[in-house]
Amino acid sequence: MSEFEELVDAHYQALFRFGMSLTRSPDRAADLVQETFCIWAAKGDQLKDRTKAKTWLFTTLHREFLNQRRRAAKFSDEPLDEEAVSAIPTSEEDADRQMDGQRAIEILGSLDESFRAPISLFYLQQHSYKEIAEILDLPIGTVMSRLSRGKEILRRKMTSEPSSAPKNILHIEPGTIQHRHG
Amino acid sequence: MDKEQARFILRSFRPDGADARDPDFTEALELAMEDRELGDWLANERAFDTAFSQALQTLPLPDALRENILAGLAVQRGDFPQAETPEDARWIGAMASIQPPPGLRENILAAMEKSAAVAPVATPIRWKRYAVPLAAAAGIALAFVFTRQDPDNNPTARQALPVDVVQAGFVRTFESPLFSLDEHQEDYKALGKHLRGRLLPCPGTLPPGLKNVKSIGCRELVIDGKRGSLVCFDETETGVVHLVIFFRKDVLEDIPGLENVQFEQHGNWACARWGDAEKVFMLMGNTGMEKLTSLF
Repeated sequence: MSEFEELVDAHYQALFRFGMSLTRSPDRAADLVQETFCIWAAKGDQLKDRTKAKTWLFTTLHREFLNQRRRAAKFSDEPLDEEAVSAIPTSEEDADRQMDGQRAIEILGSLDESFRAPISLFYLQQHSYKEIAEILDLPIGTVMSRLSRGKEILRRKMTSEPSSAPKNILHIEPGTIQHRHG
Repeated sequence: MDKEQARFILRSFRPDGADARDPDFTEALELAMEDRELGDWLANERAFDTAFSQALQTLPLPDALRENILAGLAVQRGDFPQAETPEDARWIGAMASIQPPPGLRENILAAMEKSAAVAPVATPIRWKRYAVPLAAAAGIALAFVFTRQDPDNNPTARQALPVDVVQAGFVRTFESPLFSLDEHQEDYKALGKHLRGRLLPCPGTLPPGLKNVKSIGCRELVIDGKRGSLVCFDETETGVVHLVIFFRKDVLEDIPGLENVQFEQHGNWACARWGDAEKVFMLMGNTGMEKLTSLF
């Protein structure tokens, strides 16, 4: 397996899901991933710190998304492309899991864009808040604030629209969990 | 720190516990251990985070996304995927045996001349639009790769590479985040045996300064479809140096012997080149030229 294949294998799925959360369109997400790796092929050798490849790829995808949106100047007002989301081909045995993933993307897509990218990065690849700050080129305090507020909004949305919550998420009231340290 | 401040901080705490040793979370985590209400809140928060994260991971991927990415990369980089299975090899061999009809080249050129007046329209790269031609290109390219091992009988084999392309290909590979060696040995002769077993070019005539130096390891290098070897040495004064070896027939230039070594500096990389009857050697180090020349 070539080094490029290893790099692609390590990150293309998470990049696609990040692209989906930003664009809410499988076609656009796939384009973003393709273009991210093409940029890597042209400029990746400029990256001296090899441990930063993952951050570099997510940063590049996000920048490419912003560039595309600036060019199109219409992304943020587009409704969720639900037909496109449900059109992603999968095997029958994945049907149940597919619903969960789609619902999660729909809920993420309903967030204000300033919350969507940091929340997506937090959940999709479980980046640290410091890595998220680097990828999105935001101050660390801003990222923490957006994570905190964004997660509150996410919960409120699921409480007010419980049918929209992914199936594996159960609402647990505070105090119902046995204390772990006591 | 009060509970609200702790909640604010702990909302950035990853559900897999990867931040447990981050000192930025220490005080808030200690508070959560002491305060039952805060502890319950954190457990609830982590359960929610884990469930939501798992839900997102189940989002299905489009068919052939990976293959399309790799095909696009192969075309952009000018190299091509390798045959991986005997089944692939049979198909590739069959494809390579197909001969173009007589006059095809002339017909294509004539058609190109007719359409030359129509200016091409620039369009953004869209993988779906390119998927079929890319797949076709990759298939044809595989045929070239497979048949390159017998270039004398294969008029379509790719031409020899300029030595600069080989050197640049090594640097690109070495600086990749996923660079690794296939074999680790301190005895370069053992590495030579390993490379020979894989039908790769082996170290032959080494410069005097490298003869008693411990090797680190070796790997195969594939640059623009040509197979070569890389052997790395840990030299005390110069630091790590890399010996790139290719068969002479795969390198375009006529490289002189060890008695007349060529030296060049490309940015941070110093390079020495020499050859023998069968092979071309490039010794490269991320160092100054003076240190490299001291090995000869």
